[in-house]
Formats: sequence, C-alpha cells, structure tokens
Amino acid sequence: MHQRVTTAGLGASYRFHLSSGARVTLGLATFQLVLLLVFVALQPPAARELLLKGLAAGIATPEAFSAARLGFAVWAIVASAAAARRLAPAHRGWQLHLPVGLRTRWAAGVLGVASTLAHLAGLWIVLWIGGRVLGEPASPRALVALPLVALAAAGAWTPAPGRFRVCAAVAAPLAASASLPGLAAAVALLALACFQAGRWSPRSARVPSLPPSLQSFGRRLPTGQLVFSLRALGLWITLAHLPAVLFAAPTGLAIHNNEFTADQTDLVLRLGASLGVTATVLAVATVLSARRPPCAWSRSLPWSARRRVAADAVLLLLIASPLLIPILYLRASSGLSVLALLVFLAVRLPGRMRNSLRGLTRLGAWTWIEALLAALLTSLQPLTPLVLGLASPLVLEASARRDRSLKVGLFLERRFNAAREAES
Amino acid sequence: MRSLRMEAVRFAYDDRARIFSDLNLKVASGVTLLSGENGAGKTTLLKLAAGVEKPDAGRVLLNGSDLWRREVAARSDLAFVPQEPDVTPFATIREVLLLVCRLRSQPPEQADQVLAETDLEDSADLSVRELSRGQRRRVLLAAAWIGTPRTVILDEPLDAMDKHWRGRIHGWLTALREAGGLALVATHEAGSLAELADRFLVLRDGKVRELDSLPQDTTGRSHEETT
Repeated sequence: MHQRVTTAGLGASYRFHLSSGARVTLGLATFQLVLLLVFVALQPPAARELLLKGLAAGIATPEAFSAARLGFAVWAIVASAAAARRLAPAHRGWQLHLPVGLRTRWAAGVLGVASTLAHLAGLWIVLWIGGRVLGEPASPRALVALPLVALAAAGAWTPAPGRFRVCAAVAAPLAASASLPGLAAAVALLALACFQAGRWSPRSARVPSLPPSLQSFGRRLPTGQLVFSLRALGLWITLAHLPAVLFAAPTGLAIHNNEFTADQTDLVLRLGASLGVTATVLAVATVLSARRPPCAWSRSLPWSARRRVAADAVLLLLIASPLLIPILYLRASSGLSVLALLVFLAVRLPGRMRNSLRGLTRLGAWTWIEALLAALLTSLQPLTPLVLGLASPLVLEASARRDRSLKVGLFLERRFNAAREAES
Repeated sequence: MRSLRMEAVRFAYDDRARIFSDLNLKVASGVTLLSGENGAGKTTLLKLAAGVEKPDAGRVLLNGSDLWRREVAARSDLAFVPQEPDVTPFATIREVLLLVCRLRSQPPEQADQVLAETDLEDSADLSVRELSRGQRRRVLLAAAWIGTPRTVILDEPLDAMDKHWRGRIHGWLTALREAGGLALVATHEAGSLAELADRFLVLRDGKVRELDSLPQDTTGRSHEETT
C-alpha cells in the first residue's frame, strides 16, 4: 500500500521525539563539545591555530576528499547511535496504534535523531565560515552536504530493515564528499531508504544489538552501580561542571590581568580550582541524592557498605577529575593539592548523601560549609592536602558506617515517596 | 545446617514508634512461615533478617556470620524477595541480573539462564519502569535463583503471582527444603504453603511466638501458642 508522509503526523511525532528522547541526548552533545573544547584548549597556541585552520579549510574545501568532513560524518554516525537508542521505544508498543504511517514515523525518527546533531552542525557551519574568512577556497556544496550527512547518519540507526540502514550509512560519507555525484548518490540512497521505510515490520523497531561476541564481552565489563548512578544523573553530568566554570573565569582573569609572583599565581590558581572542584562535586552529590532512590533490596546482596560508598566516591572522582587536567597541566603541584581535596570530598560526600532527611539542601548546610572550608584551607595552608589525603581512608569508613546505619525504608519514604505524592 | 538468629534486636524507624524492643528469634533449616496482623512488623523483621535495615542494637546472624560485621560473607548465600519490588529504575533487567551474577561470583551466562526460566527474555532490555508488578516480582525471583542461594527470605511471595507462578514458587521451596536450605516466608496465605512448612511463627506486639500448627487466620489469634 502506498503511504504518504503526512505533515500533521510528522510534526506531532517529531515534536514528541524532541521532547522525549532527543533532549536527553543533547546532554551527550554538550559533553562531546566540552571534551572537544578541552582538547583544543590544551594544545600549544601554535598547534591550536594550525588545527583550527586545518579543520576550517577541510570543511570548506571544494575537493571531493576531505578528511575533516569524513571525520565529521563518522562522528555524526557514532553520535546518532546514542540518540536512536532513546528514540527507538517510540517506534514500538502502544504508540503503534496511533494514526501515523510507518514511513511518517520513520521520517520523524530520522529528523529527531538528526536534530540531536545540532552541535555538530553548528561547528561545521562555524568552520566553513572560518575557512571563507581565512581566504581558503570555500564551496557552497560543503554547506549543502551538511543536512544530508546529518540525515544519513540518523538514518543509519533509526529503526528500519538492516539493508536500508546500510544505505543511509553509505550515504553519509558520499554526502561528506560534497561533490555533485556524491550528493546526488546520497539523496538517491536516502530517498530509497525513505521509500522502503513504510514496509518494515513493527517487530523490527529496535536499534540493532551488538554482535553476540561483543555482547558477551560487554557483560563482563565492570558496570553496575556506577552505570546506574550515571544514568540517574543524566544531563547533570555535564551541567554540574558549570559552577566550576564560574570559578575558572575569574581565576583566569585575575592571573592574566595582574603581575603576580609565582607563589601568588599558585595561590590564586589553587583557590579557583579548589572552589570549582568543590562546587562541582557538591552539585553532583546533591543531584544524585535527589534523583537516585536507595534500592533497599540491593542491600541484601553480597556486597559491603564500603563497596557501595566507594562506588559513589569513584563516580564523584570520575565526574570531577576532568577539571584537574588543566590545572595539572599548568601547575602540577597545585593540581596534586586539589586532587587530595577531591579525593577527600569524594569519600566524604557519599556518607552525607545518606545522612539528612530534612534541611535546606539534600546534603545539609553543614556539608556545604565543611566542603568550602576544606577548599579554602587547601588553597591557603600547604599542609592541608596531606592531612586530607591521610584522613581519606578514615572518612571512607565513616561514610560506610553511615550507609550501614541508614534506615533505608524511612529514607525512601520521606525523601522519595513523600516528595512524589506532594508533586502529584 | 543453615540458621538465622536475631539476638536482643532493637529497631525503630524513628524514636516515636519503636517496632522491636528486644526481639529474639532462631530459625533453622526448613521452611518457616511467619504470619501476623497488618502492621505487626513482618516486613521490617524480614528486612532486618535480609540485611536491608540495620538494628539499632542487637545482632543478626546468618549462618553464623554477623550481617553487619561480615557483610559479604553473611550475604553470600542469601536471597531476598521483598514484597515491593524496588529495583533501580536506571537499569535494564539484564543489567540488574548481571550485577547479581557478579556479586555472587557467577558467570554472566546465568543471567540469561534465569531470564529464560522466568519467561523474561523478551523484556531483558527493558527498564523495570516498563514492567508490570508481577513481572517486577519475577525479576526478583530471577535474581534469587542466580547462584542457587540456600538461605531465602520471602515477603508475600504469592502476591501478584498467577497460578503457574505460584506452582513454580512452591516447587522452588520444595527443592530448597530437600537440599537442606532455609526459607523464612512472611505470608497472609499460609494455607497455600502449609504443607511445606516445618514451623509456624506469629509476630505480635514485637515478639515472635512459635505455633504448633497452621494459623486459621493470618494473625494466628485462634491458636494455642506454645511459647
């Protein structure tokens, strides 16, 4: 039966994707950009300039083979995989009874996934403009290629029969060539995928799994509480770094606009970094405390309170440790001091997260005061990191004691169930 | 020979409402049915026995190991199936079962095996949020079967289960009993499991008493109490 893509169905389905799955994956996009910015910022000035100029020229070039555009196409395909996983549930189950054709559903899915590549598209356009400004040969076809690359990458993962997803995946590098035959072939392949999309069975509406050998390998990886907590944090993994930026900016300005001695520079750097790291781990701990209900049943499994608390500590360390990279790069000794502070807070906060049932914040005001005092002392008193480092094992044990004595039923009731009822 | 002992256990969720002041309990291998009125504290007792809640005072010993001093050793042979299936919403069922496999030192293939045994293969990649209550309970049953623990604590195991699954639970408890395992089961449907039971306990006023036969109602009121 011939099915047309209906505008109303497409609009409604697309908006649904944007509001449900796609917005979550935008969090990942932020994470990708932050990683990229850190990578670029860490390059020496000459290399940074060369890298950016090379990328700009590569994106804008009229030549058919461009490593930069090809790299972006691969990046788009990888990023689409995560987005499609979020959107796939909208292609099965109850939603299938709604009056939307399968092709419309597919088209909305492709648009939804492609929308999550906005960061990549923005970067592509900025680099193209940069290339033009720098006087490099800039082809308008390189701009035309962009939406095709995004759609093709999205089509590679949006649920549909395998051979048509392959069509879409092949269309991505073809579009990235920005040559006329390449663009034409990409359009043809995408049209073919769209045409056939109305024929797939709802049962196939799943993002394909990994091959069995890779699945088996994946199951042996140390996932568990850490991964569950990361999911509970979601977008906050990225947002929690924003308070650190608030401290990093004035620190950078203070160092650049004053003629400090080496010791003074060290002090300012340590102060800014300590406060930034503290603000980030406090934000993560607060959000985690609010969003992750304690799973009472799991306490009956053969793991110790120390291990549960240590998993939270590792999580805090993992999230906040990228902040240490620039400071370790600039001043290793200051970086190590802040690392000692971070370890101390990472083992201290899991205990506090299991602590207060009432109070202005999830962690309790005293936790904030204590953490900020530790940060100030780390900056001002050189011996503090040593003390914090030595105290960390004891603090970990104290946090484990707090986990053991947590009245999990009451905690769950007051923190989560009561809050849920109040919201409803 | 497996055993569960509670010695002078004191517990309160908050200071105004103490649930147990001096709870003493000894349960040996076999199937023990626990009954009591609503609000008597059956679920809390099971949570204390399973290491979910820690007593304010006193000790809980599972097979001779203190639940809160030798946490891992005491829990290594323990399976707990709570009445409310509060599994984390941030994991798929397979991930939850893989976590249990790792903690019980079992190969990851066991997760797939118990998924098949509990007819949850098709739901393996779903989050618990997407499951019905009965399915969630089956996830916990699947978790309880990983590594074949011989000390089992069940809170209303027949709740939200259809006839087929009631039969499976019955079969599991029978096998456990024959293998010398220990099962402590809180239930309002004691009649369904009575033929398996080696002893009957009733919880009232924060004390556990042993009955010599199946209680006629869930509170055990109309029976002669032996202790």
